[in-house]
Amino acid sequence: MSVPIGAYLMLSLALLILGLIGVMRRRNPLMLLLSVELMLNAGNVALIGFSRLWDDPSGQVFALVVMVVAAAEVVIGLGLVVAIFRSRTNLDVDEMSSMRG
Amino acid sequence: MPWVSILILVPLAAAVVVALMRDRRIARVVALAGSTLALAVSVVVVASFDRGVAVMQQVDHLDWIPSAGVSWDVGVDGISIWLVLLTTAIFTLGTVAACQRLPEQRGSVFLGLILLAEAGLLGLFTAGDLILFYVCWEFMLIPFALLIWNWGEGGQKTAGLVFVVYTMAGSLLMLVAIISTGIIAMDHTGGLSFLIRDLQGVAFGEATSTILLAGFLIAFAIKIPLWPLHGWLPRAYSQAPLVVTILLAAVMSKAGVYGLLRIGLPVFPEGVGNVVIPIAILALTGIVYGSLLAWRATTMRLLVGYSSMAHLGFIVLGIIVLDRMAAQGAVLQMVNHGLVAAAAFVIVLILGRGAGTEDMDRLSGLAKGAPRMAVAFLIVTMAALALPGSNAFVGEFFILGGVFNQYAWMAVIATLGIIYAAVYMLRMYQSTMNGPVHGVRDDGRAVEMTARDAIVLIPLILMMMWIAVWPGSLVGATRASTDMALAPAQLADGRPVEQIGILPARAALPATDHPEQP
Amino acid sequence: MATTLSWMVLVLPLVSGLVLTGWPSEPPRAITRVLGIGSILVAFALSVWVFADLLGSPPEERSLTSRAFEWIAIGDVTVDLSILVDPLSVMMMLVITGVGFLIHLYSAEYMGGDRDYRRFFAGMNLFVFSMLLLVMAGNFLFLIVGWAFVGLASYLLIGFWYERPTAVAAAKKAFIVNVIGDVGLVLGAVLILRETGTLDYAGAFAGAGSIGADSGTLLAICLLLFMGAAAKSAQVPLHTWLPDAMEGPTPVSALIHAATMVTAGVYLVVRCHVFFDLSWLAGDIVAVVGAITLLMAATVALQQVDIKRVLAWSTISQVGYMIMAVGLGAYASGMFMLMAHAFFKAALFLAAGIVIHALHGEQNLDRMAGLRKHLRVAYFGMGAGCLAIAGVPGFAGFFAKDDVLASALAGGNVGVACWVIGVIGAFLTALYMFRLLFRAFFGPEPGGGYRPVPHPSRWWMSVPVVILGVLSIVGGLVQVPFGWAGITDWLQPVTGNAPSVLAPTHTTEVVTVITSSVVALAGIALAWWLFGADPARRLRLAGVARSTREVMRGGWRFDEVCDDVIVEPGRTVADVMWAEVEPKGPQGIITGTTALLRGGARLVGASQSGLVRAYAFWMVLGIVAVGIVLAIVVTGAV
Repeated sequence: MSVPIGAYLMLSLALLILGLIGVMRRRNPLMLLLSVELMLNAGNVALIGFSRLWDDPSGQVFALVVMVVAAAEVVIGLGLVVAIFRSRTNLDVDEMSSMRG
Repeated sequence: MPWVSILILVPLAAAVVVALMRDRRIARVVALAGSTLALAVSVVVVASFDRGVAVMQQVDHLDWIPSAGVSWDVGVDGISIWLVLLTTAIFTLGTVAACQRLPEQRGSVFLGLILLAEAGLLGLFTAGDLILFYVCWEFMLIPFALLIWNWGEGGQKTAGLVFVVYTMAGSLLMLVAIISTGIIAMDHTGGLSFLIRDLQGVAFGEATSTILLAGFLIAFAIKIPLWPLHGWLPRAYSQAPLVVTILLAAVMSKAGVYGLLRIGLPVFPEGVGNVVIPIAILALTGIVYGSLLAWRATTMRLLVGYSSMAHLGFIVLGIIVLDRMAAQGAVLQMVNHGLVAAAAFVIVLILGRGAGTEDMDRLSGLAKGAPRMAVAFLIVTMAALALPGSNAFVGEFFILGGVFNQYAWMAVIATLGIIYAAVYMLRMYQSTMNGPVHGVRDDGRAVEMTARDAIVLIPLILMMMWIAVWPGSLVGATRASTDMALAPAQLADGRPVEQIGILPARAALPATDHPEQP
Repeated sequence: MATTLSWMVLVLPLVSGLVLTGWPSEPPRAITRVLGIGSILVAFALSVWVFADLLGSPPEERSLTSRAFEWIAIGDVTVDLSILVDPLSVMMMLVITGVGFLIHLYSAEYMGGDRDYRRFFAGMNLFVFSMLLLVMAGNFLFLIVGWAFVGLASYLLIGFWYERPTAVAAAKKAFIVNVIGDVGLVLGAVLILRETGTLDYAGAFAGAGSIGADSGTLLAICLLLFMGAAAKSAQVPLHTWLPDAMEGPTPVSALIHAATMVTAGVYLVVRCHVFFDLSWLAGDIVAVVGAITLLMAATVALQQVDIKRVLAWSTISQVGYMIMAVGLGAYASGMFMLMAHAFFKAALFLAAGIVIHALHGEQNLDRMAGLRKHLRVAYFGMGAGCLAIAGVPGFAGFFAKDDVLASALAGGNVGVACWVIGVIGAFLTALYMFRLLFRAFFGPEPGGGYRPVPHPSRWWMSVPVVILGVLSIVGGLVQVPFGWAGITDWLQPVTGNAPSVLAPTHTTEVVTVITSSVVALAGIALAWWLFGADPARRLRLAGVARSTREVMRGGWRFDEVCDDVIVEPGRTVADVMWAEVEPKGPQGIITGTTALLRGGARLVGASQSGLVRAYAFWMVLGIVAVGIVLAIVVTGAV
C-alpha cells in the first residue's frame, strides 16, 4: 500500500502555507519560531515523499539532517527569545526594528 | 629539509603565539625570535641557492585540494631569492623598531599582525601555484589593513578601508583571471592545474593572453601602484603607524612588480606585446607625476611615499620594455628600493619622534645637534636620488641602458625623474637638516641617532653599501631566472632572443604530469 | 708596480676620509691634520713615483689597466672595477694630489677657527678621492661614479656652513645643475654602450670607428658627453652655479671650484677624444661654447666687486679657453692650460683667502685698498697669479694661453674665430685681474685704516701660497714655443696623431706670441690707468654705460632667465598637479566611488524596515516570483 506522491505534496504544501501565514501574521517571536518549524517539516514531508517515490534513502537521511539543524536552530532561537525578553518586557517582533536601514 | 615551507611557517607560527600573549615583554621576545629565525632560515635558503639554475629550485610540492588542482607549491628562483631575503631582513628590523615603541594598546596583537604579514609576503614571493599566490596576496592584505585600521595615526579610519577596498577590487579581477586561466588551460594541461610552470607551457593565443593578462595587470597596477591607480597610497602611507609604512613601502610595494615578472610575462607572453607601450607610458607618467608631487609634498612621509611611486615607475619600465639588461636592473632595483625606502622611512620615524613633527617647513638646522644623524640621512638621501656610486644608481643605470636599447625616447623622459629626484630629496634633507636652527629643542639633539635607532638604521645602510660596492654578487644569482622569465615575451613580440636554449617548451599539447618533486 | 701604487693613491684619501667620518666624536686636531693632510701628501708622493715609473718605460707601454674584480655582469655587459693609468691620468693625479696637498695644508690654518674641523677635512678627502676616481676610472661607469662623487663633495663643501641659507641654496643649485650634467653623461654612456657593446674605455674607443664618422649617433654621443662636461666645467648655459659656489670656504673654492673639479670637463673631452676626433661638428660646437663662455665670463668678471666672484668668473672664462682648445682638437694645449691654471688660480684664491681671513670675512673690493704693505705673502701670490693669468711673457699662463691660441689659429675658420675671441678674452683677462690687484693691494687705505689691522698669516697658509706663486711663474717652462714640448710629448700616447689633432705651426706661433704679449700688456696698462694710477678716476667714470654694466654684473641675466623659463614653469606644473590633478584625479577615483556607493546604499537602505515580518513577506513574494519563472521556463510556456 503506497501513499501517492500527490498526497505527500499536498500535506507538505498545506504545512508550508500554514507556516508562511504564521510567519507573516504572528507578532510573537515564539510563534514565529513555531511557524518556521512548520515550514521546515513541510520540506521534510516532501523529502520523505520523494524518497519513497524513487526508493532512495538519501531523502530520508536529508530529512534527518534537517531535523538536527532545526533542533539547533530552535535552541539558538529560543535562546535569543529569552535574551530579548530579558532586555525588554514584551515580545513583539514589530518593535524590534533597530536594524532599519 | 623543506626550508622554503619552514620559512613561511615560522613567522606564521610566531604570529599566532605572539598574538595570544598577554605579557607584552614575552610577546616582544617571541616576535623578535620569530622574525630572526625567519631571517636565519632565509639565509639558509640563500646559501643553498644554485645560481646556475633558471627554474624554481628548492621546491616543496604538496597536493592541497587535488580536485581543484590547487597545490602547496613553494620554491625560490633568481627573481625571488633576494626579495625573500629582503622581506625577512626588513621585517626583522621592522619588528625591532616596533618593539622599541610598541603601541600601548594590544601591543602583542600588533606584533602578531606584523608577523602574519611577513608570512603572507614570504608565501607570495615563493608561491609556484597561482591559487597559492592569490591566497597569499589577500592574506597579507588583512594584517596590513588591520594594522592601519587599529593603530593608524590619522584622525579618521578611512585609510585602512580605502586600502582594503581598492586592492581587493583589483585582486578580485585577478581571481577571475586565475580561475579562467586554469579552466582554459585544462585542455592543454590535462586536468585542472594552477602551477605556474605548467601554465607556462600553454600557448593561450594572443587574444586570450591579452584578456587574462589584463585581469592580472589591474591587480598588479593597484598594488605597485601604477599611475593613476595610486589613490590609496598617500592615505595608507600617511595614516599607517610608521613601522607599518616602512613595511608597506619597502616590501609590499614589490608584490605588484614581482607578479608582473613572475606571472604576467612568462605565462601570457603572447599578450605582452599589446601592453608594452601602454604600461610603459603609465610608468613614465608615474615617474614624472610622482616626482612632481614629491617636490610639492608637505610632510616627509608624503614626499617619500610619492618618490616611492616614481621609483617603482622605473622598475615597471625596466620590466615591461622586455630588455634583458633592463629587467635584470629592475630585479636589482626592487631590492635597492626596498632598502632605500625602508631607510628613508626609518629616518622620518626618528626625526618625527625627536622633533614632534614630520612637517618639513617646521624643521630646520637639525644637523647642528645631530651630526651622526646628518651623515646617515645624507647617505640615504644620496641613495634615494640614485647618485652614481650608490646602490640605487646601479639598478637605475642599467634600467636606463636597457630602456634606451629598446625605446630611446622613454629613457630620455625617464631621466626627468632623476633630475627631479635630486630636487625633492635635497629639499627634504636641506629643509630639515640645514639652515638656521629652529623648530626643535637643544639644536636638534633630540633627533640624534641613538643606539636604539642605529640598530635599525645601520644594517640598512650597510646593506645598501654592499650592493653599491659589489652589485654583481646579487645580479649573478638573478640573471638566469630573469632571462627565462623574459624570453617568451621577447620571442612572442618578435624580438631577437639570444638565450633561446632556456626557453621553456611551449605548445598547445597535453602537458606532462606534474613534475614530482624530491 | 705602477698600478699597485695607483690603487694606493686612490684608496688613501678614501680611507682617511672614512676614518675621519667614522670617528665617534670630534677627534683632536692633530689627528685630523695627520689623517687629512698626511694622506694627500703620501698620495702625492706615490703619484710622483708612478710618474717616474711611467717616465722610465717606453711611451707605448705607458698605458696600464688594472682590474680589481668583476663588479657586475648584467645583460650582455660586464663591468669591472678597474683603473687606467696612462700619461693623461697621471698628469691629472699629479695636479690633484699636488695642488690638493698644498690647499689642504693651507686649510689646516684657514679653518682653524671652525667648529667642524673634522667635517671639513673629511669632505676634502672625499673630494680628492672622488676626483682621483674620476681621472683614474677604467671605464665609463666609474667615470660617472667619480663624476657624481665630486659633485657630492662639492655640494657638501659649498654648503659647509649649513646654517647660512645662501650657502645651502648655492649648494643645492650646484648639485642640481651637476645632476643635469650627470644625466647627459649617463645617457652618453648608455648610447656608447648600445653602439659599442661595452663601457670599457679601450673597447668603446676601439668601437668608435664603427659608429660612422660624422654620423648623427656619434654627434649625439659627443654632445651628451659634453653636456656632462659643460655642467661640471661651468660652460654656458650650465655655468650659473659656479659663482654661487663661492659661498663655500675659500680653500674649497681654490681646490674644487678653480684648480681641479671644474676642469673635469676638459679631462673628459680629452679622454674621449676619439669620439670628438670623428665628429668635426661636435668638436666645433664644443669650441664655440668654450669661446662664448670665455668671452661672456670675462665681461662679467670685469664688473664684480666681490673678490671671490671675480675669481669665480675668471675661472669660468679660463676653463672656456681649455674647452675651446680641446674642442678644436688641441688636446695637449688644453691640458697644459689646465695645469697652469691649477697653479695660478689656486695661488690667486689662496691669496684672496689670506685677504679675507685678515679682514675677518670681508670680501668686498670697495672696502679694500693698499693691502700691499700689510699682506706681503698675499701680495706675492696674487701678483704672481695675476701676471700668470694675464699672460705676461715668461709666466706660466703666457705659455699655456699662447699654446692654446697658436693651435687655434691653425684650426681653420672656426679656429681663427676662436683665436680672435681668445685674444679679446686675453685683453679682458689682463684688465679684470689687474683691476682686482690694483684695487685691493694698491692705493690709499680706506678711511680710518683697517680695524683691526690685518694680521700676517702663519706659515701654513703662507707656504702654499708661495709655492703656488712660484709655480705660476716657472710652471710654464715645461712647454716652450720653439723650444720643447713637454706636455705634448707626454700626452702623445693618449692623444695620438689623429689628423684632427691640432698643434701650432711656426707662423701661428709667431703671430700669437706677439699679439698676446701686446694684448696682455695693453690690458694691464688700461687697468693701471683706470684703477691703479688714480683711484678716483674709477668713481668719475662710474656713470659710463651704467645699465650695460649692471646687466654684465648680473651675469647677463642667465639666472633670471633660467628661473623664468625652467624653474618657475616646473613649479607651476607641480602646483597644479598637487592642488588640482591629484585631488580630482587619482584621489577622485576614491572619493567618487565612495560617494557613489554611499548614495546607492542610502537608496537600498530605505527598503530595510527592520520588520522581520515584512522581510518574510518579501521573501515569499520572491519565492513565488522565482517559482513562476521556473514554471514558465520548464514548461516552455512562452
